[in-house]
Amino acid sequence: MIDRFQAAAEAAGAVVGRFPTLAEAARHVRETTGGPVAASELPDAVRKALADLRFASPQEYRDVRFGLSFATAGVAATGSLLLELSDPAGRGATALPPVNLVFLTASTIVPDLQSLSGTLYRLLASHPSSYLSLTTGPSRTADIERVLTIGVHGPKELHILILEGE
Amino acid sequence: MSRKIIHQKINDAFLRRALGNFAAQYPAARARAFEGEDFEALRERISAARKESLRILPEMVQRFTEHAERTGAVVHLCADAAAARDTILEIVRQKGADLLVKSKSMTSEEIRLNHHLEKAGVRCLETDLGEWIIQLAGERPSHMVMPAIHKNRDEVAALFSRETERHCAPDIPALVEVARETLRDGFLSAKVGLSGANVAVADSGAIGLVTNEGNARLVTTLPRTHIALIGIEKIVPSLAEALDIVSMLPKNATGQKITSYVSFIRGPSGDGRELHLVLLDNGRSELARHPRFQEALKCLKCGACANVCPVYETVGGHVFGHIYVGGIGLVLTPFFHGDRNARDILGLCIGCRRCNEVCAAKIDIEGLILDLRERGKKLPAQKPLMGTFMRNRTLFHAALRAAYLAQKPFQGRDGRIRHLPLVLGCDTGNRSLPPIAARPFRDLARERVAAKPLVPGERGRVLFFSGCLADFVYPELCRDVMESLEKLGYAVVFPQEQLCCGIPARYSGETGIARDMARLNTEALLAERADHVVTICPTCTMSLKRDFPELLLGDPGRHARALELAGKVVNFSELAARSIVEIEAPGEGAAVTYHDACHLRRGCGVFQEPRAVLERIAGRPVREMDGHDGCCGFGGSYAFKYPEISYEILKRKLDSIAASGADTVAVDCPGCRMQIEGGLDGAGSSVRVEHTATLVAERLRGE
Ligand code: SF4
Ligand code: SF4
Repeated sequence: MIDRFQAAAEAAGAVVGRFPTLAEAARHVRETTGGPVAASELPDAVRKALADLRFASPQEYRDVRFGLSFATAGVAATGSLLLELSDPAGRGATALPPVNLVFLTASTIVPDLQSLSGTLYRLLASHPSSYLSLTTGPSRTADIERVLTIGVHGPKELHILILEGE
Repeated sequence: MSRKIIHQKINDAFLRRALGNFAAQYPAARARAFEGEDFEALRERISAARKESLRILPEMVQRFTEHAERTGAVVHLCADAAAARDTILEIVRQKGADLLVKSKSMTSEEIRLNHHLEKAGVRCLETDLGEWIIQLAGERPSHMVMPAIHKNRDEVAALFSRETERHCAPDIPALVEVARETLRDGFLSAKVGLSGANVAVADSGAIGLVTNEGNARLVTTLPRTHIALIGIEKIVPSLAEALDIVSMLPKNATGQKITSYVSFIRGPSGDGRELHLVLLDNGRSELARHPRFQEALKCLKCGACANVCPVYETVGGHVFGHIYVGGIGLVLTPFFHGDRNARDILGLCIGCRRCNEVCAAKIDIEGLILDLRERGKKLPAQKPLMGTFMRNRTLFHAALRAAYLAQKPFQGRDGRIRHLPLVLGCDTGNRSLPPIAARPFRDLARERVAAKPLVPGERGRVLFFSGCLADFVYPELCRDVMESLEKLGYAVVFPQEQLCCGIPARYSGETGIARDMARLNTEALLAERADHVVTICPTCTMSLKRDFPELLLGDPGRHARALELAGKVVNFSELAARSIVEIEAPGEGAAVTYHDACHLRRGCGVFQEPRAVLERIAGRPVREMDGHDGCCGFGGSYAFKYPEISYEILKRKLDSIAASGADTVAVDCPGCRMQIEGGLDGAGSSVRVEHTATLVAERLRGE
């Protein structure tokens, strides 16, 4: 399943890395980013592992290079990530920076969209309001001469960090 | 539609290449996207769900409204375009804004939102790349999914240079970057953002957005007020139906498995933000109650009907449509933008039914276009004359005989007609026409002697319905049909009372005449005992089988008789395929390539039978050509009404034929035969075009 997810995500233009532990994934993030990052809601454990990073304030998002988020689930058939983005600032963190880094726990990968419908249903109903996104690859357009171009208004790069051990 | 505009589009080299390339790539991309999925089952579910929702549309609106309001969203139900525009303007003003950032919304095109807001002093900024390009150009989308498909990089570079006041090179990645940088300020400074919605979910009050560029996320995130403009037909009962649509849309639209972003938005996202859901009726409730045309509201706006349309491929969306383009654009225009805008474009459909084959919501697009022609017909001068002619067999046939004499001066040495004087008002468009025969088949039929069956035992009694074109232009084809069937063991009769099948009348919107033809033909063809009624023109087949019972619905007795007749009607190749005999004939003949007539393949679902007949009875191996099921551009009177479009479509067919290397093209339709033969002759090709029946007859005669 992880292999299928990886193949589909790469076909959609994402960069996929697999990490045995959160600590190693965190180290990769630190090495990649260097400067401040924009982040949407992250589980406490992740925030702790990245405690030494500088998290930018939403006003800075426009100039920040990296956005960081944590996926609720993955879809193997299409290489998609389910992101809960109900907090507008967190949404901005996935939309404005040119590079997105997303953690995904391997055990949350489901085979196809249909198998995700229960989760979607639950998430849509659980809060008074919600913003769910299935994200597949970086942003793209083919609006000029049908030539596929990666990175229009959203991220130009999408890196998926699969946590295999947890 | 003016000839001048059509001419201009046909001669727009970039447009032609762009549409041609896309049309060539789309079917394979689409097939790949649907790999492992059951398209038919998916569209069946979508169609059924849409139908049910339309039936209870007011209830759906109410359910959605209730649930959406519970999330803290404000719902505005707007009866018409003006009400929706005023509501949106009011929200923008309340926020003290003078800028509205927009992501793609066809519904906002429908109500011409930008135009009206700009007049009221609110600047609208389209952020979808394609929409921004056409906004800068001051044009309207030429495709529902790819709005700027008609623009090339040089034009885009010029528009961007003008807008940004600096030089932008015609380099696509660089142009995309210019859009990213330039539009950022808009996103960050706007107080109000407007999106459309691909779907709205009744039981949660959520809306779904299916996008690629990421601009919708910015539009729905950075401004603190989000307005979503939603046609009320987009409401589905629950997430299950929404997911079907999400899974269908990108695959059918552009051959993508899934888009980069699929978002479900339910309620405003806290901290004093606002979400306004503007539900647009604009005639939808009324249309949803219409017994026939309500079907059009099932549309998901995927654009596939344009992607496969040979006319769209030739002239683009600025001709083939109004605001909504492609096949469904022709259907929706009269309802949303008035009969005046629809009148010109309804005639542009050639009736090939490719759109029906791919429609995500299983809409009978071609049938709706036909019915709308009837509704909008305005031909008072022609009507009485045409009616008298068509209903009166003697008069109609006498006129055709007179035409035989009139054509004499224009015939070339081989009898074909290559130039008609312009006073006749029709242009052959680089094709030659076959002459009207000296003696129609109906005369020859009286004198002919039946051929002996090749194998003993009678298979059944057949009535042969030839159709006008074969009767008057290809009498030798009619002879081949009767002879082949007789040799295959049938007793064949040509009923002299048969008339035109009524399709030309129906295609020109003259349903009254078509109904009379249905009545008279039903009587004529049921007067004699028969097991089968054999046709050689699939358009006649569709008329006899599908249209006659429909046309006679108002009269239960006649309707029942039409159904009885419909049960007997078969295409020549279908019956021949059931009667394959082992014949002794020397070796195999030369390979042929096969052209699938639109109405045979998509109208009757017949495409294996003629191939089997060609290989196993006619002894001709079939060498498939690329695009074997693409339209030839004939479409009956279409070829004369829009000769340029017809010829452009034909050219693609001629190229495929040439590339196949076969020296004969087999087809199961006299109309396609006439069109392809004329095109090949005009191009000086020696490839021969024959009806399958003729190739069968040749083999059975031992030729
Ligand atoms: S029937 Fe053919 S020509 Fe007419 S709209 Fe459909 S695809 Fe286009
Ligand atoms: S009519 Fe069918 S094919 Fe055309 S846009 Fe609508 S759903 Fe798509």
